[in-house]
Amino acid sequence: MRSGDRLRAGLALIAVCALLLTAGCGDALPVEDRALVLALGIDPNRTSAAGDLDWTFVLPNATVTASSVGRQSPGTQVSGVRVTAPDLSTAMNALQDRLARKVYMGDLEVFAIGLATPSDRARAAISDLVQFGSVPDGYSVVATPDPATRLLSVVTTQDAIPRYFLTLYLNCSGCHRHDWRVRGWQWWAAAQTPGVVPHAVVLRPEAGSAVVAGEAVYPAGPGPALVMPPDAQDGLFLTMSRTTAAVVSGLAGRRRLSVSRLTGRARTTARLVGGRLEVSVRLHVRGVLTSQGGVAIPSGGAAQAALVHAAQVLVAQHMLDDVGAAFRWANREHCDPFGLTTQALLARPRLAYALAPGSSVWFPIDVRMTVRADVVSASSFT
Amino acid sequence: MSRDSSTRRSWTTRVPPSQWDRGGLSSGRVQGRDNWTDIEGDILSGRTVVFAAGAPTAWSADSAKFQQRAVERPATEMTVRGPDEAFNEVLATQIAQLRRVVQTPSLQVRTVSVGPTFGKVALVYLEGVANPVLVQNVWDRLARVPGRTRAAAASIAGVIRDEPLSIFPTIRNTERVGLVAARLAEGKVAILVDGDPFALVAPSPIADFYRTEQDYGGAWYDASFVRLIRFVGWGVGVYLPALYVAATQVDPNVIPMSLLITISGSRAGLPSSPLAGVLVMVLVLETLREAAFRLPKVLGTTIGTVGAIVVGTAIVSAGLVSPQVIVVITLTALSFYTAPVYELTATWRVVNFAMLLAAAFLGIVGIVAVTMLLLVQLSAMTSFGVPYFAPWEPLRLSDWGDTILRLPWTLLRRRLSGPLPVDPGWPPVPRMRVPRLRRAVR
Repeated sequence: MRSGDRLRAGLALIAVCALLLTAGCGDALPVEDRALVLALGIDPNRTSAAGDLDWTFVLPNATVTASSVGRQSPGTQVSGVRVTAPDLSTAMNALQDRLARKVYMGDLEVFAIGLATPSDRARAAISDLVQFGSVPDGYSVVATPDPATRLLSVVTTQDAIPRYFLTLYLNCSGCHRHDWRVRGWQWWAAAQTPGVVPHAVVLRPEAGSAVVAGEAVYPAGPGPALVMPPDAQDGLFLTMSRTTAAVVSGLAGRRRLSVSRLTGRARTTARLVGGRLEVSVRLHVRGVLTSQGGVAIPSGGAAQAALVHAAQVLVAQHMLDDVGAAFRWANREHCDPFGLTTQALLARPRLAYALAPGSSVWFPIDVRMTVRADVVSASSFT
Repeated sequence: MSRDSSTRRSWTTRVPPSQWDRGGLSSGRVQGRDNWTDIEGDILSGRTVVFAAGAPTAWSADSAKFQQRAVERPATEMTVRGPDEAFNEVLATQIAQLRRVVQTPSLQVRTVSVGPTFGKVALVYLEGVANPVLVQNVWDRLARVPGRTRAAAASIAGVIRDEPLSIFPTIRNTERVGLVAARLAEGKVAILVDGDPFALVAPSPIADFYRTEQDYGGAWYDASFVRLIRFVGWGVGVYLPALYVAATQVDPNVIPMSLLITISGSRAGLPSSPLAGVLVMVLVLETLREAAFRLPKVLGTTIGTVGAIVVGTAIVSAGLVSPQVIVVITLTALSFYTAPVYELTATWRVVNFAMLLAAAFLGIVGIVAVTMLLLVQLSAMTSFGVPYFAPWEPLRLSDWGDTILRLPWTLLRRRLSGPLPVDPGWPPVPRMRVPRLRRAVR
């Protein structure tokens, strides 16, 4: 071998060794040796004087195979392991002590926060998850009024492991009236932005399923989460353009109208003027007039046009009420779950730099709303 | 030469001996010989050498009639549609087959002996199309081939090709007459070997190995789709087992949770790692493949079926590998054979193995690293001076129309730029005017 070839071979060997040493794959474990954590929940521990949290890790049944899917009884599909610890690292250590496989959080799908959990502890937990490194931040964040274990262990008869009910529920596109998903990174980004507060949908376990019970908002500080009422929650999601299949039903004159398949798009602008947040919301809602109090909708003609117009007025009024309720609630609670402060601060970089991440600054909101409602009659399609 | 009318079997001619190569001798090919070495070689190869008193040159006439097998269908390059003619082992027949397909005076055949007595090799090209530098280059390389044993296309290819140590074939061999004719028209050269039914085509960049004769025998959309499928097959064959090992052994977070749970459940209780499982299956597959080659055709098919179904199922039932491994390896084995040339199948199997080991130790990083090495290696290689990885590196978008896709004939206006043909354009396709048909008046 010539000296040049020897040098080249030596360099190639060093490159391969360096790759082996620096890639960090030396301690990699095959998938069957890992304990997959599907969901994680936190609740305050009532008995702990040090303010520890109860951490619930939900693990799927490790013996599920492609051929045994659907044959597992509901009680054996997932198992919850509950540990008490002050922070995520300690909780994972405690969990690891109980398992024969290595805890793997790389595919975490749901993070549930018990409503009694102090807001600052919830923020710290998600911040820990973000800094943990090996947990991708695409998991969904939800809140639950009961201990998180109850919600995380919901197993319906419609789905079976390996499909997890809560993941399917939150990812079901166009199924619910709003897109409820709040990703871990979205929650964390809101928590870090001055003036903005993170929020998560409140899911209550009920009869082997889950029911939406408002929106939990987490202001900075040690207090508990604030829960938005349903109309304000609708307004919040409308403002965020995440209304996907809402229904509005109400009286227009003497007639009861129902408009379904409502989708909403909102264009918002926000600017800081004299210490107040001036917000402009332009809503564009589209829906289908589906029924008229049990009476068939006339097809074509002046009668139908009048009915559609009445439906448009009904929808527009409803949307204005909801968005107004959301902003009134935000002003009353001194928080901005819409994320509008970010938009305003982008135009005021000096002020933004002066504010610490996660600081609880708040600006009163003045809002001006415009709604455009496009309703078509279902009979137009037939 | 005319036959005498008497009963004696004798011939007379009035053509002077100095012009017997142009008339007088009525054999196919007549060559003048002026040294004893050539004369000896010609007599040994069955030719007739005619000496004329006083003439300085002896005339060597091709009078041998060898026993040869009939012209048959290709055994290794199947097509569904289009011409289906394979070369046989006799050089004269090979040339005749080509001449029948390429009926132009531009077709040039230059023969050379490989070694002193080990057989003849013919260099075939189209004058006015093939680049003279390429022709000379191949001719020079052929002239230097040592005659160690009987001449064979594989051994000649191994000596004359660029990058003789590389696992990538840089010269293509084919037994199809039509394919050789098509490549000659593109400005490439072909090497025919006496005693071997496989012709060599040079230069052959890697994309050339994915072009078959059938691509030109069917509709352009079908051929283009099939070519894309071949590239997809390449991707599946090379990457699927490596990705499976990387995902299950090193980087499980690339797998969706629901799939991860079932894979984890299927692997519960298995004694070996995913890599070991894949290696076991590769071993089983290679054994079955080799056995199927050796067995008679009927039994070979049976063994293939038995291997695929019975052995695969039994291995899963025995708890040696997971069902996913069977799926992965079956798909991989099938995908490899989308490569139209067998040599390339062997090459990709080696690459796949390297990819597998890198994935087991380094996960996705390893796959990326091997891919980068592969790209660097392919980009640095040449085939008779032509970039091996063209038209991707160097990027030649104009060549994509007849490498990655197969455009309609009316859009194929230029020959592939790889062999730098003297005439880069194809003869233009005239616009076909369709006359308006009218009802015939009675």
